[in-house]
Amino acid sequence: MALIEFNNFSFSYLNSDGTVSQAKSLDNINLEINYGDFVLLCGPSGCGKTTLLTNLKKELMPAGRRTGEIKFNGVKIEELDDISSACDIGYLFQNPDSQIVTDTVIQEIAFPLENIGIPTEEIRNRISEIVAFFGINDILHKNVNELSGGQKQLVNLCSLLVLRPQVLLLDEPMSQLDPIASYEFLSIIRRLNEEFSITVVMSEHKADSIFPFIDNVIFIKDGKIEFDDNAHNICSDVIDDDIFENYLPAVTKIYNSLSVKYPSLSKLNTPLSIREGRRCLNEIHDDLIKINDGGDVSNNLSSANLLHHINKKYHSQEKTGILDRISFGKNKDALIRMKGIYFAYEKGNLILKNVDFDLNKGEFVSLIGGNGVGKSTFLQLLVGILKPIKGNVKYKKGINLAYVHQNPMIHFSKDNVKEEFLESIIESNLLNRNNVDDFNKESYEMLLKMSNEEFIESDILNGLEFDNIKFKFKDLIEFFDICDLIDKHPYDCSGGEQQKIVIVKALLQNADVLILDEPTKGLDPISSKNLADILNSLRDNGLTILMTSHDLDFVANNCKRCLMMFDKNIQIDDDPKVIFAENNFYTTFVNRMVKEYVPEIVTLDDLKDKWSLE
Amino acid sequence: MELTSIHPGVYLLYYFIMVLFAFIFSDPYFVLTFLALLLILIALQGVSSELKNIMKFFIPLSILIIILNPLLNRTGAHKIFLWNNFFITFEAIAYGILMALALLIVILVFSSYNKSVSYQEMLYIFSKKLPIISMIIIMALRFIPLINSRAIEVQKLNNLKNNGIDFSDEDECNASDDIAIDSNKMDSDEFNSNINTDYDSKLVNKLKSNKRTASIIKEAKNLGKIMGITVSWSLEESMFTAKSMKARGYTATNRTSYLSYKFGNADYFFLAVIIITVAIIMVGLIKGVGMINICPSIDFSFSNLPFNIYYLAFIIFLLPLIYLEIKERILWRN
Repeated sequence: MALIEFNNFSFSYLNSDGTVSQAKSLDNINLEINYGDFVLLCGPSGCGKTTLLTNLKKELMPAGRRTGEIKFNGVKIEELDDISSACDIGYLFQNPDSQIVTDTVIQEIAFPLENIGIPTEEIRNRISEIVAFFGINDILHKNVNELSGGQKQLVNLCSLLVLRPQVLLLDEPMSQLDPIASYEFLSIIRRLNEEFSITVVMSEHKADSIFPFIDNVIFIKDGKIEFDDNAHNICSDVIDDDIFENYLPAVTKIYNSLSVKYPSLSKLNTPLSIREGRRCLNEIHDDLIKINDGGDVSNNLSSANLLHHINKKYHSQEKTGILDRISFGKNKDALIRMKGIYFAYEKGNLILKNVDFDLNKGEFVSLIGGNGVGKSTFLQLLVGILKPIKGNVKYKKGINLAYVHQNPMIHFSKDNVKEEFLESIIESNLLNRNNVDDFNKESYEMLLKMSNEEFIESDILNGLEFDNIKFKFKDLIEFFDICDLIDKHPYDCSGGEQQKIVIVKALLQNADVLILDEPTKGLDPISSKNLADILNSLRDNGLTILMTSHDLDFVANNCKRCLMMFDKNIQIDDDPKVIFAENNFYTTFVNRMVKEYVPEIVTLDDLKDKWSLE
Repeated sequence: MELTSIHPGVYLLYYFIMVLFAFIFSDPYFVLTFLALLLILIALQGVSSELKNIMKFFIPLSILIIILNPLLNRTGAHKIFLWNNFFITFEAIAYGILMALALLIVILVFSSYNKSVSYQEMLYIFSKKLPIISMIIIMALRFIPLINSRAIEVQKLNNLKNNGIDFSDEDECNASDDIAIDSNKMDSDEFNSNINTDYDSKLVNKLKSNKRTASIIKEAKNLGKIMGITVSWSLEESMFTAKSMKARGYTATNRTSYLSYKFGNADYFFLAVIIITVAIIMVGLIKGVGMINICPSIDFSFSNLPFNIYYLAFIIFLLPLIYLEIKERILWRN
């Protein structure tokens, strides 16, 4: 008997007026999860991953109509008694901050045990056991505000584990963490699964590091299970699927491309980790060497060119660096210039030390670096939210800055997206400049009453002309693909959608410089691609973009300039492809995979060009 | 104190009696002894920065009490004429001083209490009888700093909005050191330093006072907006907090507590000292030892030394914590 069984399970949410929605959020799910399985749920945002997980937990079941049944250990989920449901099934949410209830770590870990009425001695025994296992002695009596995101999520996990659950349901637990914290968290989950045979059902977007040790992958689309297979098989199942192909690890993508050209590879098992991937490359070692060493003249030339280019670039970079210092302040294109910035939140603890930086017009710059190295602080200093202790920031006359916070939610203050847009337009001087004199309260009210289509088509808004982008209002909305969101409450939109709305708001304010703090956080691969397309075409339109990111692939694929922060300053300032080609550890999965053969390649597209793959 | 653990219930009782005594005793010998021993205790426990802050506020307050009380209170037999018919009474001065001292003692008692009893120990006392209230306190302790940090984030963003749209409202870049001015000259046509424009607009603001009231209204609107965003953000996040509480079995059964403090030998000893000394002091209080009459006429002279069993009991009552602190220091040194 399986541990969890879905039998013809369907679910539809209630509409806001109390009727059952026609669209099924989960449609005829049949699924078995066995004891000790590690199951990964993947799918675009809004496909029903969270709905599926919450339906497994009695306390969190959303309101709506369900047909079919879900059994846990042979008992229907609804019929589990309160205490065993709370203990046996642990549920971890996305945001580490919002699920913490109490103020100290020990209190938080004790909280569920207190809830189910365990005597004091037993509670202390269980806490001591968990603390010993995870080695969190040092933070046990700390206030939760002092912890990092990764530590918070670990505390949340401990708080579930003291109840000794049989199943852990993890809803994108790593989407808010930086890569290092994610690896640590993941290795703990893996250990729990392997050493204690705790069943894990996890939904996650970035599957590169998860794939090597999972049993089953379930791909969901529009509430239906599209693919359900073990990790090795599923890679060949979804090769031609244009959505789920994106969810595969980079290693597998490379293998899939290579195996078209070299059929000898298809005998091997699909590689999931870099280790397995390297083994595959070894199989066709000779062929790869041939490509590199001059089987193909043009390729050889281009590779030589590239290397030459890299060298030249390094060279020129150094030169301009020195020249810059000699001809102080000659750079006419700079929109924002930071000079000798020192910053600290408290005395004696400098975050930034003597930072110089020029942001030039039309650049797409990314800022990378470890957690807590001061990336967000840097951005906030740049836009003037924080004041430097020493040094100054200067702006080119008349530029408009737009800043998008890590949490787009805090940009919203109105009831619907329409009002948000109108607010931005009114705040900017666009209406006056475009000679819309008769814009008053009445026309504002009128715009609010319009339906979505009328609003998008309205003459007043489409008459506006922006400095940097050629779009009309309507084109802008359609380009961002947010036509349907116009009359929604901003809080009802998903994270990716909120991100888009804030960027549109910024553009409506006629921004020249777009500054984004971690826009790729928690985005699924498709949304991430869309965002990249949007940002690239905005850049082509003349907008200047600066963003921080932990997503190295995103940076390598899209940016032309990349800053790496380290030790209170900007350590490297160069093309990301050059940076990652030089790096050994802090680099993309593609680069790690093919480092032996073509060390200068960091993105999949470049690799495909280089090895002339499909 | 780290080397002796005393049950929070005993602490609570002890400090509660101390606060009562601070109000009851008015004999200057008793009051001054109380103050001296309390100061020794606090010195041993370590002066916290909060106490320093409180004292900054308390010293002017006590001076105010001592000055104002004789001016407002004219009862008393010993009149001191300052000029013409204007007089103050000696009794009122004495009363003012004693009142200020009593207040000082209460503040010191609370500060010492904060050092001795952590809020977790407080919760332990209350969680048995009032589980819901103690849960609310714990959640508030988490929530208040959280909402505070969120408000700061929102406010930062709001500042940006102001200087992003029109540069006249906010000083975007206030680092006006020499280098800035130099480099302004170097490329004055390209870079317009915001410092200068801001300075101008501020002057204009000061000249036009009606513009200032407009800016106050704007400030108020901004503040309202910040609060609105913070609250709706927090409510949105609280939904997850509620879900996470429910998912971890909140309200499944009656709550227990992980806190446990055992009643040990030190507690029995401490309790015995409290009971015996307080009993003797009570007998003394009934007899009138430790209290003086101030109105209508003060009946105290410094030559009446209070060397009796009641005074001794009072000193012993105040000693246990000092003894434990000193003992701890000796133990650490070894």
